[in-house]
Amino acid sequence: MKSKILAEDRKDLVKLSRSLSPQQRLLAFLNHNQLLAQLSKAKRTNHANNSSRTIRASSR
Amino acid sequence: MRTTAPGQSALLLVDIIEILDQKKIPYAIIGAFAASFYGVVRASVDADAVVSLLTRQDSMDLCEDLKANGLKVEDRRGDVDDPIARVINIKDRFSNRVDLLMGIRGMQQEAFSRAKKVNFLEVPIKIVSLEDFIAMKIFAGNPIDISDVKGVLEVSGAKINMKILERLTAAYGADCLKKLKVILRK
Repeated sequence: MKSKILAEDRKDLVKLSRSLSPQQRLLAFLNHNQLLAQLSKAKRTNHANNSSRTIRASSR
Repeated sequence: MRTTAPGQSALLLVDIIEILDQKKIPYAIIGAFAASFYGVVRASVDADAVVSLLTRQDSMDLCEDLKANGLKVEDRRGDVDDPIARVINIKDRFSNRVDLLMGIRGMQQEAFSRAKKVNFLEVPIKIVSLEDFIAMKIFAGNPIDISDVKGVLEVSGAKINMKILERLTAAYGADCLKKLKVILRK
């Protein structure tokens, strides 16, 4: 699949990566992974809260 | 240990590197960590390093040291036809994970001396050389590996020694060299 929008996004990403030093990219790697882990945890918490709300509502 | 939460496999790797250094075990960081260093940053749940093939005793000692640091350790051997002879999987209590790979078919022992020495969080670490990284990724051959190669070519392409890259890639087989040439043409 060829997409002009995705190709432009990729170009921007490469430009951004080039603007960082290798050491800065390593820090970005660490931060990116930590943020994704937090996001994943928030999603699981939200899902668990929604599930327990649904169970409580259906048992009324 | 440096880790305090999930998503910190890179920090777990730094802790493990200190243990490898104490034991004078040659290693080189590969995987998403190296891909981010040379190319486009991408997320990964684990961090990987290739380690010089250890004797049974050295491997047992290493595993015991890791366990003594509160880590879960699993030592797995590849089948006869597996391109990786052995993997030590290491996990901490936050599910951060590091894989230490040993005996990758086609990888030269000199890859450890070619590894690039850099500082990360003020700790000296060794990252597989640019050319070794590309050659290994082409050998691995999955879409994510090829995507990493493209990212590295786009970001650090000017720093590559093409003669060395071709020689290292050829060591993984004629098919790998062919794949490299196709990627370079694009």
